Amino acid sequence: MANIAAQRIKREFKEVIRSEEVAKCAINVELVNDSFTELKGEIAGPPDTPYEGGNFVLEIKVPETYPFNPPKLYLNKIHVRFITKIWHPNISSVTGAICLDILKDQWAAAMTLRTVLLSLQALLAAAEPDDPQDAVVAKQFRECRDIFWQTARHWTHVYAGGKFLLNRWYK
Amino acid sequence: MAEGGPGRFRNYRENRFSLRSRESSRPCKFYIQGNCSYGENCRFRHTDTNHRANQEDHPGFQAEQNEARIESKPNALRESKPKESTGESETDLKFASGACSISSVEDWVNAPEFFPSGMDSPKTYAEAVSSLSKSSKEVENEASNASYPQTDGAYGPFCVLCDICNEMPLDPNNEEERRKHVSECIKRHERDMELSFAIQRSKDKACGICFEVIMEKANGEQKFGILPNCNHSFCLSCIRKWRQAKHFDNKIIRACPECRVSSDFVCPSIYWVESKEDKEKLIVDYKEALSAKDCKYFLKGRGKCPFGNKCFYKHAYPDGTKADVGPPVRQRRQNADGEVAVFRQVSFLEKQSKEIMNFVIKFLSFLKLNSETGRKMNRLLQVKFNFQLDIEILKSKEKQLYKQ
Repeated sequence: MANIAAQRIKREFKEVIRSEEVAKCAINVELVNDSFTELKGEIAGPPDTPYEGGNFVLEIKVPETYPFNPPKLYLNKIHVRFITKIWHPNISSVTGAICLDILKDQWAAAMTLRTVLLSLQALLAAAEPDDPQDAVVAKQFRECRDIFWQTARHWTHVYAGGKFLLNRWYK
Repeated sequence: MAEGGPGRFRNYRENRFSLRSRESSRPCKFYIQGNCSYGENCRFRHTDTNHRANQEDHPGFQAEQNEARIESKPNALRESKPKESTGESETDLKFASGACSISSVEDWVNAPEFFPSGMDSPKTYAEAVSSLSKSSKEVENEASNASYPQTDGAYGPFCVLCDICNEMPLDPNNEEERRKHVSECIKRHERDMELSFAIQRSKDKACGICFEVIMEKANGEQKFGILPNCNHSFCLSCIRKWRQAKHFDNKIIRACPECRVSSDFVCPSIYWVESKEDKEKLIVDYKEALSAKDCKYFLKGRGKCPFGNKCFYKHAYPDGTKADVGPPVRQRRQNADGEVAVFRQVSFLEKQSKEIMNFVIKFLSFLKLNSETGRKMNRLLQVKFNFQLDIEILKSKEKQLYKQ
């Protein structure tokens, strides 16, 4: 692993561990191996969403060319894939692939693990049905929001350990 | 003996001053102000008038004077001294008045304690401090500036050190030289100050890309890359690498990685520059330095610079005349996604690229592939070799091939 990538991930790891979001259990990062190429991320489902109470686990793969290169390319991808299944218009319900612009062409070298995880959390709170990853979920999100909400709630309960709340209405 | 320590010092002082007796022809500035701490041992003249004082030649007079001072000095000053020593000092005094005439060097032990003449008239603390706060050198300077007639050589009885650099001896009479040196000194001092401020500013700035403190990086990498349009710090190597990143829109890589404010170029700097004026100055200096160097694309007229007249480097022919190259050459091209991307022509690969083109066209026709594949290949070629095929040529070749 390139020196700069390893150095930066080490620093970022420390930064995340010390951040107040970790203290509030909103995000977390764990090492998978010693080389800092693979990490395990966790984000808490944001409140007032069907994901509330859920704990979503991510697989983060850091490319050698981090933090410079485009996440788009196979060599240079910062690969963040949901391990926990989730019902969300911008996240594939099958593969867990995430549609988020900063993980693609809007990446900037100053972004960190922390900002990426927080952006993902924000994505959970504000879905973009016009730029969907999962067309079925997006269609449901647009057309029958209450069923979408209940499905998302159910998935959170089953896969992410959230409490089962029956009579909550998604605004 | 308790008196051993200070006594030795006083002996030395007395010796020293007796050697410099000729300086006693100058008036003592402190005496004039009324608080010379050397008292009778001062190497300067203690008198308000211009004629030479001769009190120190009469030890008897000195002793009398001291006796008078001891009686009149304030109690507060005596408190610091142990009580039993008061009697001693009186006997010492008697001894001193007799011994002084024999040897002024050896009687220092018995010399009465000195109290400056100024103590007679009570002074406020502020007055005392204000007069003492002037450095002795300054006072010496003033004394030498006083209307004292020069009798010795060109540099007077002693040279005055410049009170800024503390090194350069100056002739107190040569106003012009003094002024010149002082202004130089001030300029140098300002430069030093600016430098230390710059170091202070820069020393804990971290790069927004590698997150390392830039001044603590390895040698040769301690350079800042200053973006003209925003105030985020990066090391030069990191920001340059980011701006060379492929597969991002120009808009993304030309923007600051932190705030996404676009900047057209990066200015290298040894220190961190934050204020607008400093930044402008740095950029002007940078452009000036670059405009003295020959452009590696223009090659004194042999090449073609893709940056045209926007290039910071020198575009001049071998005879020195400046070349007026038009605006930057840009090639518009549609990429595979149908977006319009702007690419710069890369001149140094032009020759090779023609050969490669011919080869690729032959290869494609061999495989019976169309220009669409060529388009896809372009992306690969651009990554690997930093050059693109001309799609138009490909298409025309394709048409020719189909006709055949």
